[in-house]
Amino acid sequence: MSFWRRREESLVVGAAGLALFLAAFLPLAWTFIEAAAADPPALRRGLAALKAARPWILLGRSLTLAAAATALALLLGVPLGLLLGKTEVWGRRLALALQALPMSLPPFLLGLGWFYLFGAQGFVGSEASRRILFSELGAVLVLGLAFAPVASSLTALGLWGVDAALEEAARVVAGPVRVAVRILLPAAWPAVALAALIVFTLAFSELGVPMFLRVEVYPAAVFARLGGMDFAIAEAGFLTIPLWLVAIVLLGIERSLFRRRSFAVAGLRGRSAAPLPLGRLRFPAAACCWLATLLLLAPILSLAARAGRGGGFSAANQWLWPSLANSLILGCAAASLLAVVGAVLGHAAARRRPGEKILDGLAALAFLAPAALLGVGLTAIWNRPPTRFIYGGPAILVLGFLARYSIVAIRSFAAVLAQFSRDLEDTAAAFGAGYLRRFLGIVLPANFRGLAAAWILAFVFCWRDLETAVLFYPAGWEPLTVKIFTLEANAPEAVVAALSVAQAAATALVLALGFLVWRRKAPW
Amino acid sequence: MVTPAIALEEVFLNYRDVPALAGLTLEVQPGEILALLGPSGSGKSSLVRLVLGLVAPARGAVRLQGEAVSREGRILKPPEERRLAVVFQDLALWPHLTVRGNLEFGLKAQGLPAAERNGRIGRMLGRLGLQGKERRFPGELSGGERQRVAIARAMVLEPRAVLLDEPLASLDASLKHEMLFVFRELLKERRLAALYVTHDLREAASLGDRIAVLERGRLVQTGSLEQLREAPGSEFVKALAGDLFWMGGSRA
Amino acid sequence: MKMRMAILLLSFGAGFWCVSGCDRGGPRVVVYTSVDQVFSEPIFRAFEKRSGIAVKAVFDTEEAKSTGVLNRLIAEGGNPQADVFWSGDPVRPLLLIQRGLVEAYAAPNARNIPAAFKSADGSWTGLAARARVLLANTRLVPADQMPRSIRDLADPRWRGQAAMARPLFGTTTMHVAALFSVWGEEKARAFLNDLKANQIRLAGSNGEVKRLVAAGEAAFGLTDTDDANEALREGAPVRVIYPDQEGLGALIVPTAAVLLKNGPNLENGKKLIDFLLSKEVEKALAESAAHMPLQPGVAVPPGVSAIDTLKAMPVDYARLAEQMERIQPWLREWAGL
Repeated sequence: MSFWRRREESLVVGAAGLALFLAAFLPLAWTFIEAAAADPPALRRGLAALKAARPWILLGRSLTLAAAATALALLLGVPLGLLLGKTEVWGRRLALALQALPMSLPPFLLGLGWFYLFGAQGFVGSEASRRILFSELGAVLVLGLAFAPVASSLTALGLWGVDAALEEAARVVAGPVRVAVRILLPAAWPAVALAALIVFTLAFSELGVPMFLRVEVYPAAVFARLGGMDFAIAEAGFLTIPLWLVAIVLLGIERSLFRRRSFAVAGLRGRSAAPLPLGRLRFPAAACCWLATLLLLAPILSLAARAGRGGGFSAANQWLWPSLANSLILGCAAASLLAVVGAVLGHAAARRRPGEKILDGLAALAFLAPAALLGVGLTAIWNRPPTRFIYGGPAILVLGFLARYSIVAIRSFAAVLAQFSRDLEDTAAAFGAGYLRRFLGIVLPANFRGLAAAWILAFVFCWRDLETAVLFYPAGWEPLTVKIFTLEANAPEAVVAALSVAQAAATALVLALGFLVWRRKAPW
Repeated sequence: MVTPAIALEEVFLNYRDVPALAGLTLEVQPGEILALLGPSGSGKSSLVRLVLGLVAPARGAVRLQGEAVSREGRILKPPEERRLAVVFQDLALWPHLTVRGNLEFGLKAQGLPAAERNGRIGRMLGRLGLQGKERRFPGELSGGERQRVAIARAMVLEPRAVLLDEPLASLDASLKHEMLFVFRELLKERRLAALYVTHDLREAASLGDRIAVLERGRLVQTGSLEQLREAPGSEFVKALAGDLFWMGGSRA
Repeated sequence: MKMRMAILLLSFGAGFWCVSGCDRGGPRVVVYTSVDQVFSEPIFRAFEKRSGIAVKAVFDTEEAKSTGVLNRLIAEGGNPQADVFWSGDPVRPLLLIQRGLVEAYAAPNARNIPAAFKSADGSWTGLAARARVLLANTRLVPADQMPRSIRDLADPRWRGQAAMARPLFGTTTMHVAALFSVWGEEKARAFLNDLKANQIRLAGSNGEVKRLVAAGEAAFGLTDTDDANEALREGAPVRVIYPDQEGLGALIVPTAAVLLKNGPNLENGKKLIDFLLSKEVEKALAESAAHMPLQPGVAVPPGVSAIDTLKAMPVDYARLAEQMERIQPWLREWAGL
């Protein structure tokens, strides 16, 4: 008995790690294994692809684009987060909640929204605005605005995490502006840096928007070798090597800057100081905030207007429901699996168990890797007669989501645990509770809200996913985002716009429900 | 010779690459309350975690009733098999469990039948004047009540020994006084060995049968309050003893 | 707390049971298609209603953002998941035939389809076809200067104002490959380089070419009949021109039905193909997508040309497949990816 009990932790963490390994590492490594084993010339072709100048030019362009989009997102998001999170702007909570909406759509759909606004025949479009939209600058603007809510919400969360006493002590000796700039922002800087990292990652790996706006980027070069007529998988594999390097550098930055407690910045404390008074600036500040919020919501409003103008909402009815149900079922199943794996591995990460760094790194790389590559690898690994029950049904998508988004669940639960007194767990150990009993009896229930938050976050990521699902969703299991994407080819614009709005509305509903569950006061 | 309940033999322990315990040897006899006194940063809490089995000694051994449970960098017995109980400074009451749930958790882990559990919990709650509070959550209790729940939770397990890691540090003077009395009475009537960690000589003196003084990871002196006062082994002891002068050296 | 954990575990289990189990039972057929979903899905629903067989579909867009259904069929070759592949063009099926992934099926309905648009042994059968057309914006292009040939795309008069889709995907690749086989390597490359020199605008897809032209962002462009028809339907100021009617002819792109080898529901796959090859489906596609029927005697709605009124480019679709694979690296370089 005690043999198994002593190994409970190794077994459970090992199982979660194995799941991650099977879902993420094996498929990603497969391209290289396949290329090396089956076809040595493919290796040479792959190397040749890397030796050319073109990929490196594209890489530089992609990095620049992502950096510019990040700068824009921070420039807009950080002041917005400060004003909405910490000052007495009217309706600040509502504005923050509204900003969550664009985050729930694949950026490609936001790009479509901007197109309906600023395309040459858009609502306020002209030839000049069209030219700006379909350029590098346009891509930076679309992506920067799409990801600005990440910066504003993380900044606000980081500010709420600042010790109220620290702020109040400063308020005694300094005015609100000085407190905000000299005390609050520096104290919340890890949150801002984290936002920068996330926005950069998302912008760098974005495929849909640059393709739509005809801006050439690196991920498109990889994709062209997988989606095109010739299936140059070895080349695609080799072309991802620079992406790995970028990913490893980002991971290194994150680890050295935050000692991997980065997601802990999103921690919520019980008490926060009263909002900073703005005095005469209150009205202009509120106006700016709401204007900025409106700007971030503009593509969704534009989609809604486009849908309304063409009678899209009634026409969308016949397309919407089955895929909405698919999205919901897949999202729930994947989020639940992610919550379980995230809880186990997040706990291991928070407790610095051996091997957790490797697993965390693997999860981070799978998040950054081109989804196309992951999809091809998953097909190759899992499409075999014995695993038909996985590949032939929605389980394969759940597995894909697990691979791609486990980092979200792991990090968010680890952050929750970072604020959870270790003594609570140690006491349970001293009182005779083994790993499973501690985990199920103390860690999970005492952090139920944190677990729920991790679930919701994982759900939103799966819900808005396009690039993973699109490549290997099983027949009949098309999620809504994919349906919008494939319908966009030839369906009337109004229908596509209406479906996009439905996607946003459904997210709002899910988030609101989740928030209600999450907010319900614990009985203790 | 009697086998000590807790014995540390030449223990070395590093905390974040800094030596926390350096060649420490210490014994707690059966039924004895040993007060471990030391300034903050002296390695007291490391010692508690070491005995619990949450960390392994770099060198040396930890024995419980003669059995080696940790030795030379290895934990031979994990915490959950050591049959110890602990009260931490923050009490670490599980916020999501009721008073009853808090007491029951360890008993269930031991696999006791329900009747036995209920009996023990009932007696313990009665003993500590906590009747009627079973269904409260820790957040709904007063500071004194929480202290009682924490000690009840430790004692109800009938452990081999109890570790108390500055459990009273955050209480006001009168409550502290009362709780010290409760602790001592409970420990003595069960003849339990206990290690009481504190930085307060007054607490150490009122509770401990013996006082062991820990400084920078080493034991500098062991003895009764009188012995400490008459021949202080270090500046720290001297200063503390001086402060205590007005107390007259008597036990509470 | 126990309750809560139980609920959590229960919902987790239920979710998984549902995900792995609720998909089973009942007759079904699995179809992968690169015919635009907006047109193909209603056809599948009609088949479901008619036959009682559930259609499980994977949709692809054949545009730049192709989801690579073809690659998926190849990757799944060892353990096929699909019964039928309904391709938006006749070239992809040939790539599958080359790899031995196709089961020949001489469908009864295929008899009346012209020989140019099907294989003799029944390994693919064409139906509802598109043509590659020029779409011009009537506000930007005067009626007397309408382009008449694809060569007009390289005409310096329209420098920077003509558009085509990036020829890495879909019918545009096919079109380029057809030019390579009809003209020969050298002439085709020269033409493409002329296009580049003429600053042709490379769109992400044929749909986008339509959007560019309809919106007046390009004067005219090369696209498919279904996209062109969409622009007409939206009331955009555009005109559709079948190119090279005095010369080479317009490229006709039939959609193609293919039965896959070792599919899980072979018989149901045959039934679906029979249905796809019916006049009823061709009529529906002519109405919804402006696809030209290949069966004789299907009435065409206004705006859709009948196949026998057109001059078609003489191409051997079987050879196009190899051609496409061969020129792909060069095209990628040409397109700068």
